[in-house]
Amino acid sequence: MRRTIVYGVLVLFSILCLVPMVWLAVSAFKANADFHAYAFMPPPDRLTVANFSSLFKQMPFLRFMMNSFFVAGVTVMVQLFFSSLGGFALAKYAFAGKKVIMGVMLATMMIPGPVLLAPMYELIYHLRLIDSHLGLIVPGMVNVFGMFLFRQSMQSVPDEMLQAARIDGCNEFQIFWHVVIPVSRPIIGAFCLIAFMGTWNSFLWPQIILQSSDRFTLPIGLNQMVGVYEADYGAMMAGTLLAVLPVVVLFFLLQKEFIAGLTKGAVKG
Amino acid sequence: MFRRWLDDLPLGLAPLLIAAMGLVAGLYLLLHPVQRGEADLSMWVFGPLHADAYKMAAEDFSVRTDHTIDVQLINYNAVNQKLRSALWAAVNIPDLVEIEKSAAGGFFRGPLAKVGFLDLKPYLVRDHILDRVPANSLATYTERGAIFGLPHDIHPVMLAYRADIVDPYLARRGLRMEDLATWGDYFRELRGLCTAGQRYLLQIEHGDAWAFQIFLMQRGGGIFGPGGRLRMDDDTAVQTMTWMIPLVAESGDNQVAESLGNWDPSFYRGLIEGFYIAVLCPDWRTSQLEAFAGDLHGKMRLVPLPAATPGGLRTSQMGGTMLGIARSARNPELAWQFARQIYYGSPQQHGQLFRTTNIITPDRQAWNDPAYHEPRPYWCNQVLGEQFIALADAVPPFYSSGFLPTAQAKLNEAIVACYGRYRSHGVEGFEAYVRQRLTSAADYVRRQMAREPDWDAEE
Repeated sequence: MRRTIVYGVLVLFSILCLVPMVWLAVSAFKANADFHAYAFMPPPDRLTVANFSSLFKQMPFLRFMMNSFFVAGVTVMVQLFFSSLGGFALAKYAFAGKKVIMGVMLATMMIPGPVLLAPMYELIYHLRLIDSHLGLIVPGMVNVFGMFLFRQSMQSVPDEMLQAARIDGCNEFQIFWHVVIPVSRPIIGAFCLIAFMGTWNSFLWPQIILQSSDRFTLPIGLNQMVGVYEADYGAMMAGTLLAVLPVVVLFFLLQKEFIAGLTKGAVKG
Repeated sequence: MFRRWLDDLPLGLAPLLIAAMGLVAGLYLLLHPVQRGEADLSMWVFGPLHADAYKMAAEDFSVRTDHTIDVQLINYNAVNQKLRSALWAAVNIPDLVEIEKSAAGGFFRGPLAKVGFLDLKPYLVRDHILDRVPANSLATYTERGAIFGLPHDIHPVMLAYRADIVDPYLARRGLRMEDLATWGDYFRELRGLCTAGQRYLLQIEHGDAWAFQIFLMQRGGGIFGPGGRLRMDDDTAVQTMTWMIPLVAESGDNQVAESLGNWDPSFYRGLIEGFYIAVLCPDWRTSQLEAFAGDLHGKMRLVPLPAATPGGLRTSQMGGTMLGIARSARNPELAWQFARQIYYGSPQQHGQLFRTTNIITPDRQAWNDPAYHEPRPYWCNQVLGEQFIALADAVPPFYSSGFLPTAQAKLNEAIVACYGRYRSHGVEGFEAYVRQRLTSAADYVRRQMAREPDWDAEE
C-alpha cells in the first residue's frame, strides 16, 4: 500500500515535470491560428510542420545552432582541461598559499555574475574580442565550481596509487592522465553535462558581447524573434524545441555517467 | 567492441561527444565563412518584420545607389542597452536605429548638441515631408524644437468586439454598436450581456497601466506633457483613475471589466471563449488577433472607442517606433536617403506592410494605396485601413521623457493600490485616495527629476 502511494506521488510529480515539455513539443506543431484556440492538443489533422519551415526561413537557425555547438564544445573542453588540472593540484599537492588561493576562489563564487559584467566588458573590449566567439570562450575558460568538483573527487584517489605510479617512472602529468583521470570518469561526465548546459543556455553575456547575427548563439538568435508588437509563437516554440533537444539527447546518452558522478562518494565502503 | 573501446578512453563518453559536436560545428563554420564586407551604413532594428522589410529595401537601395546597408535585427531590450552603451562610449554606434516609443525620451536628454541623434527637422522641411505626417505623431520625438526621430506609425486605438455576440443583442434593442458614443452608453446598453465570472464587457487587467494610459490620453491627459512636464497627478489623471478602477474593482454583477492576461495565450483564450466581448485594440493588435485568434474569423468588428464624454475623442494611441540617424553617422545624407525610402517611400511598400501587420504609416501619401481600402473578412468585411486612417489625425500626442520608465513604475504601484482600496472601502473617499496616491507617485518622480536638474539644460 505504502509502495503504491509512493509510486503514485512520484508519477504525479513526473507528470507535473513533463507537462511543460510535452506542451512545448505540441505547440511546435500547432498552426498559429490554433495556438490559442487549443490550450493543449489540437486534433491530429491540424498539426503542422509549418513552424519549422518558418523558423528556418526567418532566421539562419542552422548557423545559430552551429555557433552554439562550437562555443559550448570548445568552452566545455577548455574548462574540463583547466578544472581537472586545477582540481588535481588542489587535491594532491601541498604548496604555500594553498588555503588562501582556495579562499579567494571560493570568494569569487560568491560574487554575483552581473556585478562583473562592466569590468569584463571593458577587458574584452580592450582585448578586441567584442562580437567574436572568443569573447564568449575566453572569460569562461576557468570554472571555479569545476575545480572544486574535481578537487573533492580527486581527494578520494589514494595517495598510494600516485606513489606507485611515481615509482613506476611516471611524471606528474602522466600520473594525472593515466592514474587520476580514469578513476575520475564519473565526475568528468557530470561536469561536462553541467558545463555544457550552462554554456548552451548562456544568455546575458552573449547578448552583451555579440552584435552580428551570424555569430549569435541559439538563445540570442531565438530572442530576436520576440518583437514588441509581433511574435510568431509557433516558430518560437519550434526553435525552443530544437534548442532543448541536444541537451535532452546528451542527457539520455550520458545519464549513467552523470548520475554516477553526482552520487560518487555518497556511499562509503 | 565499441564498449571496450569506450572503456579504454581515459576521459569517457561525455567529453568525446561534446568535443565531436564542437569539432563538427567548427568545421561547418570554417567551411561556411560569412562574406562580410564593410557596409556603407549600419542599421539596428528590433522588430523581425521590420528587419525583413528593410533588408529587402536595402538590396533595392544598393542596386539604385551602389551603397550598402547592413540591417541587423537586435532584440528590443538589447537594442536599448547596446545603443546606450554605444553612445556613452562612442563605440560601434549604428548609423540608423529604430527605437520603441517609450524608450525614446531617454536618448534625448542633455544639451541638444550632445544628443546622439541628428535633428531631422531640416531634412523633413527640405524634402517637404513635414506636412505629409500628422503633427501629433511627431510629438514624441520632438525635443526642444528638434525632431530626433521619424515616426514609423501612428497606432490609433479602436474597440475590437465580438460582433457575433454583441450585434444580435443590440439589434434586438434597435441599436447598433456605432450608436454607443460614450463609455457610459457602452456599459449601460450592454450591461445585460455581463455575467459575473462568465462574461465581461471589456478586457482590462486589475493593475493595468496599459489601459489606464489609453483612457488617460483619450481624455486629453498623459503621464508627461509638452516639454517633459510631469502631469500624472493632474485632474485628468485623477478623474480617469476614479472612473477606470471601479470597472474592474466592483463586486459581483457590477464588475464590467476583467482580464485573463494581456499578452499571453490566456488573453486570446478569453476572447475566443467570450469571457470578455471587447478589447482595446491599436492597429498592430488587430494582426495579432487575426494570427492567434483564428477561430474568431468573421466574428470580430472594430468601432472607434466610445468617448469619455459626449463629443469627446473617439480614439487614443498605444505604442510606436521611431527611426533615428546617429549624429556620428558616417554619411548622414545617405542615411537620410535610406530612411526616406523606407519611411516615406513608395505607397506600395507601405501597403504591403499594412497587409502584413495592419500598421498604418503616418505618410498621408501612402494612404491611397489599395491595401488600405480592402475589406477584411476576419473583421466582418470592414475596411480596416479606412477605419484607422479616419482616426489618424485625431490620435492624441504622446510625450516621452527620460523619466518615463520611473513614472510608469510608480503609476503601476498607484493603480494596484487604488484597486485594493476600492475593493476594501468602495466609493467612499475613493477620489481623495486616488488623488493622494497619484500625487505621492508623482512627487517621487519629481524628486528623481530634481536630482538631475540640468538634464535638459543647454550648455
